[in-house]
Amino acid sequence: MLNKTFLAVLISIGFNLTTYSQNNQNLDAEAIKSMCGCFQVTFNFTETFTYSIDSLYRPSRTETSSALEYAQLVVDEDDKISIQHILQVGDPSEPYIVKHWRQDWLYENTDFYMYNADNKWEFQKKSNKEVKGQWTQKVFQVDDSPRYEGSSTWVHIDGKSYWENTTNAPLPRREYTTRSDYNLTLRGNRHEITDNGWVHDQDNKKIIKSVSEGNVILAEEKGFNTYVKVEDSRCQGAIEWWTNHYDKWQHVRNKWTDVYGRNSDLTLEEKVDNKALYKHLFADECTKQKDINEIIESFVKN
Amino acid sequence: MKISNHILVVLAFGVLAAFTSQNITSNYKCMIQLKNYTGEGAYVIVSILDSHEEYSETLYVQGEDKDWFNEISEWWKFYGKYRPNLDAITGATVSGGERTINLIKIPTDKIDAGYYLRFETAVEDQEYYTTDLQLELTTENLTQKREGSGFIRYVKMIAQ
Repeated sequence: MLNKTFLAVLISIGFNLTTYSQNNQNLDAEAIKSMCGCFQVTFNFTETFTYSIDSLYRPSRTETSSALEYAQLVVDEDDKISIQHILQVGDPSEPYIVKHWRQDWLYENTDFYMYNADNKWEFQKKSNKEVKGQWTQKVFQVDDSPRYEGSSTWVHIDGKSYWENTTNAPLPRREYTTRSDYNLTLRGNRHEITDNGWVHDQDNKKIIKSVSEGNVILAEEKGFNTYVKVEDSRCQGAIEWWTNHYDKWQHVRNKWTDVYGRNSDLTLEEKVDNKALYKHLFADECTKQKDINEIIESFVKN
Repeated sequence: MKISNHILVVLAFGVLAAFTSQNITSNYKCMIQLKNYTGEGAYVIVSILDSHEEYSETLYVQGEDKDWFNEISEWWKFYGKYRPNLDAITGATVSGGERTINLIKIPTDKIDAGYYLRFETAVEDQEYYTTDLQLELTTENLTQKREGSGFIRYVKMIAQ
């Protein structure tokens, strides 16, 4: 009799925990998907602390810019949400559209490609226990090649919903086109959902990674990007662009899924035939799965 | 007292000599003739390299889009570290078959002193030649017409 009661209590606890976990996963998914839609975005970056002892050291300039960005929901499954960001700039009647970054969110994912400087990503496998209840954010370049990723728990407390993670990343374009004195960013990412959109808060470290001297922190940077929701109609140009180019970028994701599925370290070429990958893939004539497969494969060194 | 004055004079002369030797430059009119090719204008970087072929100084930059400097990857490792202002030694790109004539100032103490003169070229979506033309920085070499191996057909320097 006692055993039966004990068993019933255990089952009840188990059931309640499962329900709690399921509810939380749904709450997380809701927060993630609230990053979709049309947003007026401000990008703000400023270098804060400098640790260089070189008298000739030059910090990056403070940068602020603004644009419309459409975040399109591409995959909406229980354990996977994929959001494609599309920039829309210039005259609203004739906007200039640029495929921007993509973020995939995977529930309790165990497979990671962690950036290790110089266009190399190390494959890492985590245990189920390590990622229990967590969401992995995987961020991709404009050509859907890897950028950075990390796993953390979405937090819903005191009326706030946020996700924080620190991970290695390549230099962003605004940095690698303006300076060559460091080769690794340690990104502190914070995504917080707000009443009118969301905030991408960053505390980044600029690191010189070398075989001889290990990692040296050169400087720190604050990033504060605000996404304010506006009417979808303002992003009509981006919405149409995505509809017209959907098949092509599905082919590109297909090929990358194949590459990422190899579950081994990944090193990518900077250029093939004197062109970066995005230039090959952005070309209008590049639309067929076969061509896309060949192009992407030519960039994979191992 | 008299000895002290002599020391001061010698010291002052020494400092002045050191200062002026660092700033004396020899002016050369530099004509760069490009080969015929189709495509965007060529970026040409003229640099001085030391005896170990490490970059020492940038003399001239043909190409004004700073967002594109990182594409000239070898020079970028050197220049991108401190990014000194290049406005005074920067000119516009020219296309295939065309030529430019610019005044370049070469530090006199680096001529005939084991240094090299490097002409580095790149064209968007085309080749990048780290050593399109590289020569020992000697008085003799500076008077000769030299052929390039990439986008440069030839370079001719005339002392001013």
